[in-house]
Amino acid sequence: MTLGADASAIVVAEKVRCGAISAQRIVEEVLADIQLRNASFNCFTRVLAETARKAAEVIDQKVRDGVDPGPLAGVPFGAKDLFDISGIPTTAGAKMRLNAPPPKSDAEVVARLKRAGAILIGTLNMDEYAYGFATVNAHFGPTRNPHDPSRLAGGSSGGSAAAVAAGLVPLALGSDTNGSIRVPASLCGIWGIRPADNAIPMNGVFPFVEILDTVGPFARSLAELVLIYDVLSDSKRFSSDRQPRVARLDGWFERNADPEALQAVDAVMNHLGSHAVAKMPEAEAARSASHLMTAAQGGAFHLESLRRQAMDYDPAVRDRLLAGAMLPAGNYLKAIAFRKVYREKVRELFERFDILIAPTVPVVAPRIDQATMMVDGKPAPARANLGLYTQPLSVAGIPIVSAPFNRPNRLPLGLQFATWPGREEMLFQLLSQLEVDGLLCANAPPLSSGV
Amino acid sequence: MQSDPKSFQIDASKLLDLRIPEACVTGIETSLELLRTHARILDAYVVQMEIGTIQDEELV
Repeated sequence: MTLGADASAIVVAEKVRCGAISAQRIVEEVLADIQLRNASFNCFTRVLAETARKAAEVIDQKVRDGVDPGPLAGVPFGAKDLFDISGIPTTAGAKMRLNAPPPKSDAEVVARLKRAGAILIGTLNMDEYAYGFATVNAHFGPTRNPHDPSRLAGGSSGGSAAAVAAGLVPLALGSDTNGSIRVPASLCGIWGIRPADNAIPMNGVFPFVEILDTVGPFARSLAELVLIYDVLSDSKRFSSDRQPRVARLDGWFERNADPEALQAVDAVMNHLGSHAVAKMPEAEAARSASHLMTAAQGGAFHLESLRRQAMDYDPAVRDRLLAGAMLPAGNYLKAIAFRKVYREKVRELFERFDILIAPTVPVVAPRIDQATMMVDGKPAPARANLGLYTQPLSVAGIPIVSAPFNRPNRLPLGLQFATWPGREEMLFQLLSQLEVDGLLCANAPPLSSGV
Repeated sequence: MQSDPKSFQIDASKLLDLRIPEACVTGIETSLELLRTHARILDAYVVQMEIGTIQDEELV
């Protein structure tokens, strides 16, 4: 029996658990597909074929022995190359770390997926040290968007998003500091979640900006996203009979948006029969605070390494880290103070609403060679501004799903659905309804790409 | 005497014991300018917030 490389995680786990297909067969299919198509997108940086084969043998033996192999039995997954994997260096996308001492154990999230029966296939491309929205890596090359390989996959978890969108693996792990799960999920047309602060453990994750860092999954359907989220998350979900109070975010989150992105928000709001509008307080200042916190913490973390080997960094990352290292402490402390006030204002907003909707990214995926996009009527660096709408929400520390708007045969557009921690179940229920009703869907990329 | 902003940058790198490679200077200056812009945006908000607080107290 053959399932096809783009089979859903749910189908794979069901078939493996009942013995209808072996995990070893699944792994061989996935490895062959990666061999055939990865070069077109440059998603995987290392394929761990032998360890994947051994893990599949263990799963199949459990099935034969009548032992429960776990809810993700035989499901292949990839991990952004900043998660510790026992025995191989964690590169964090940096050439200088190719020979770093290998960790002795897996990152907690990788360990949880393995315990649930999932099989790690390899590591995935990213912006160096997660500092970027593009996944254009000077050392490992650019990851290309499966919907149009001349365009960006987004970043910094671009390898993860593109691998899932291309159907190379059904699930992948990424990290989101300023939008690094949501931006590539939007540009590649799949589902991604930035969890609430502390909802998913960060042990064994190479840090970028510790006060903003989160990790989370990508998937091609909401059901798969929720399945993996439940395996990864420490937080319990509470159901509610109350109808969610939904509003669209205006102001900052409409300024600079492409008309197509606003039409997608309109379509969802009209479908829900809601005309409520909410203003995220001081979104522009929040974005500035995220820039300052990122530069300062990133620069401080890399200072010693910058002293020794600045020229070994990706130039696009190095200069920003050096600038961040020289940022006066007062700027950083002001951003930290702002964050506290801002979070309280966001909490007050969620006393009136349950779910807030906004475009994830103002535009569809820019071309890889596209230097600028229009911001406030002026050309501005395209890559730096892909996080216009994700950064202010990162500072709030709330759970946010980027969901693919259903627009077949066109470049993908994602929508952010943000909620207050503890209301994730309400959010998933609303998203499920919108997916069933055809508003949200991860449209498959054109078959021609990558073949 | 007003200090030259450039001399402050040099001091910052000295303070941090950072030798700035020539190839990085333009990129660092661009990045610093962006950070200054964001610092100004945040400053404007923080000043507004503080004025608002004083006004609120006066109203009380």
